[in-house]
Amino acid sequence: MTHVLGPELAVRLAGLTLRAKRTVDGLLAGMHRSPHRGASAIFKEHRAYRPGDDPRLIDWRAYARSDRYTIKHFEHETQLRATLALDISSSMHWGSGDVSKIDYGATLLAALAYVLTRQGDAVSLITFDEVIRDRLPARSGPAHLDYLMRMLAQPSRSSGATALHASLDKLVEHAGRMGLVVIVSDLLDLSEDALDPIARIQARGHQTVVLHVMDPAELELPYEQPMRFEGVEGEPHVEVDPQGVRRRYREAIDTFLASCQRRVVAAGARYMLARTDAPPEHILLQLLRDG
Amino acid sequence: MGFGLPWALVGLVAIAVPILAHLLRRQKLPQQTLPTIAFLHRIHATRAARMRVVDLLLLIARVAMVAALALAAAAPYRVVQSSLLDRQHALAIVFDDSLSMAAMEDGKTLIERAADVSMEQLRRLPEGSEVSVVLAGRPPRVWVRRRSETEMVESAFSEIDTRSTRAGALCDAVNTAVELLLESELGDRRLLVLSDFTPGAGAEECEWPARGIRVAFETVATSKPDNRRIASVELSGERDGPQGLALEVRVAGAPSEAKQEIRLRQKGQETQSAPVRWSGDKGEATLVLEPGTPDAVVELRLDPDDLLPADNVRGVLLGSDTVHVLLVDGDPHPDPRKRETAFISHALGVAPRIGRSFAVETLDAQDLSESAIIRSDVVVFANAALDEKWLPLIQRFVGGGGSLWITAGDRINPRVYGSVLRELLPGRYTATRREQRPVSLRSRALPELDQATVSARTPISETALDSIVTARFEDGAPAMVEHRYRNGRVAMFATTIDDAWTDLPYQPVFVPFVLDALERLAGRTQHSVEPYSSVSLPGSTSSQRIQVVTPSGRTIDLAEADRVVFRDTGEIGAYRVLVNGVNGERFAFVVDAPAAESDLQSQGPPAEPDNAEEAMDDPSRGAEQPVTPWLLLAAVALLFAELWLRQVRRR
Repeated sequence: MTHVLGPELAVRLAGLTLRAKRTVDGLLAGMHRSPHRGASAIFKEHRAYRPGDDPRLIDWRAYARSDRYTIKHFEHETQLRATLALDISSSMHWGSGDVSKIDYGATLLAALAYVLTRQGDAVSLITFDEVIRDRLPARSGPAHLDYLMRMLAQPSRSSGATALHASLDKLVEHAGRMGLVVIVSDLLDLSEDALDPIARIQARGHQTVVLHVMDPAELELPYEQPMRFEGVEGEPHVEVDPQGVRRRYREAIDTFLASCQRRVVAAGARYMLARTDAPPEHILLQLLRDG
Repeated sequence: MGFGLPWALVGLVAIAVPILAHLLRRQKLPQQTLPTIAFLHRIHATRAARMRVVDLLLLIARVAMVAALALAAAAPYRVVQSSLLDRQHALAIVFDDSLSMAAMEDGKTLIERAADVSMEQLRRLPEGSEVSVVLAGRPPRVWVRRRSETEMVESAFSEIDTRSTRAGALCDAVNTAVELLLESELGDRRLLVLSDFTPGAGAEECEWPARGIRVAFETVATSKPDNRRIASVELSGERDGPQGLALEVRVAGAPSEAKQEIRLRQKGQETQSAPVRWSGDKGEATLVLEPGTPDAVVELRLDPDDLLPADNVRGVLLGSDTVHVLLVDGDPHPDPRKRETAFISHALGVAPRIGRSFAVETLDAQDLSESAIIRSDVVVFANAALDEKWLPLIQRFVGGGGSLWITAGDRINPRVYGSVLRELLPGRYTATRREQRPVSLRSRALPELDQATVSARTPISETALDSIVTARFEDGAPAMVEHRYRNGRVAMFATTIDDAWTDLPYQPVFVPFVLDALERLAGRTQHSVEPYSSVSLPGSTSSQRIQVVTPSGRTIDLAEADRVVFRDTGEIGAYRVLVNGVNGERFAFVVDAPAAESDLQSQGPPAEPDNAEEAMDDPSRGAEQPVTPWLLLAAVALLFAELWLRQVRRR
């Protein structure tokens, strides 16, 4: 955790809480409302007894006072199951400055895991490139958080390209139902069906957030002199005068970003662009504030 | 196609620079990884083919630009094929009419033969061509200036003096001809040089036009350069001496089997002759003039004539280095030793006979005459009271180049001198004063002058701005003052030239003092000149008639003026100047044949300049047109193309 989440960031995020919009069915009590009503520490309402109600729920004290059968209705708080997915493909290991995209994405996920763990939610971690590489099952507690942080600090080094469709398909299987799924990736899988699995994730009742991590140099192509550009996932090189192609490149990138956003939103998920030159807490604040 | 500066073609190596830069640029492009390279591929796929073409065009433009600049530096020109028969051109003929070209062969002088060659060339000229003719004898003359009428030019050739005596001025004539050609609007410019190319022509020293003008040489020379000349004449003895004056004549050139002799002519009449004794290629003859010969100049002729008769004649000045001094005694005395002019006359008599000699004539002031003054170089007024009637004569004498020396004494009236001769004098005499004690003289040129003392003086004040003080009294006052007046000089001396007021005549420095003053006042007179040089002579006046008798016996009256510039000096030999019909020895002069012109051995045309031609009528030769401007234009166009391609590449 020390390597990934700085103490300063950890303190600033300590007061933040995450409340899931949607109720989840968890086994553990937590701060999230449960759809299952019944015995619980938090009283919700009284209502008249109806045939079929569990007689154990009749409030006898109220019966003694009013001579009517009354049911005491409690609200259960359930534990959130959050699945954090980190793209560890080769392209994510690149950065124009000191921070690579994977470092930046790991920082975001670590902060999120920290917040969730503090409020008692269960957090699982999945890393992927062409396939699922590592998976940490959902748990809560400090020991689990520490283990998760170490995984984020030292993700497996991948030399593979991004294959979003296959990886997210597998992620659906591991994420269970009605939880929170946060996907951190540069989405550099330009195949048409790359983001289709997001719709299936949403269909399983998850609240899905896609954090699209991009380096500013990828967005702006700031180079001045002619260069020989090399790919990071085995693409052939190309010699280009950036000044000559910058305008068209930016148009292509803007189109790509817009396409990603459109597909994610169309699937019912939430899309956020995360530039690596922006402070990570800004991204998290926006994520948490907007619920 | 040719190149003016072929070594500059080395600059073509610079073509490698853009090529290497292109290759190195490709090899040394900075590398950059980029995960989003797929988007670059999408864009570049459509650009790549076009960029390759643009890059290639850029490389071609740069290489061509460098090549154009390198070629331009090499001053390329292209030869446009043309023929004299069908193309108008500007032709300048440099025609050597120096003395050597007057050599006779087969009944014609070389000048006549050269004229024939020139006219033959003229007849071949296409209609509308422009012809200039520059004569190359000294001084060079534009004989025909850019004329198209062939008949007129031919007529001009027939007017060239075929018996020229001029020195050679070929190089100056070439320069003049080139200037004429450059004035022409016709693009095809040709220079034809007609000469015997003897050493006197000096063609090797000429600067031939480098570009744009084609040069051709035509040698017109004698096949047997057999020529002799009177090389020098040395005088020994004295004209007035008992042995008379001996003339040692030296002849140079190839010996002739025919008997040769030197004939002496005095006043146009042959008076004696002497055979030439040959030793190798040098001949000698000696003639002796009777004592007391009145002639200032005689003429020698080598007989019989050879190819070049002009250099067989030589004028000899018998008294050319003599300074004629007229001493005007203002205080005559029956005892010659007590005359005012006694000491100066004695000093001139004992003057060393080295350098110039002095012919002295002494007159009492009342006997002064115009003729006496006019035949003198320097007139000394020694303590002479001034008569106003002399003023015009003195003014004309000094203005015409004579010199005047006024020495003080008790007969000098400062007021009269100041009023009458004020304009001529370098200063003004003031009242005479006697010194309490003798004062000494000072002179930087003659330090020994301080041994002389002066007991009385007529001080000189208000010296003219251009005056020179050559001697002073010990108190700094001027003792001897000089200045120039028109063509002559005037000097004033503040004390006597005899021993009345000073002991200067008794000092050893007296003789040098007098000689120095007279040498300076007499100046230098040119007595031997080159043909067609100008000679300054006194002009006629109402009372005296000045005439010049040329070697051929022509008599020319000089106009009325202080000085006359006489230019009719084309004849070789002795020129006598008559003053009212009498020989004026002072003004006689001779015109010598230019020595270099006597060598008739042709050296052939000079080393050919790059654009020289053997013959003017070679139709295979074309005119040179410079290509440099076009190459520079192309380089500029390529520069713009390169800039445009770079913009295309960036877009």
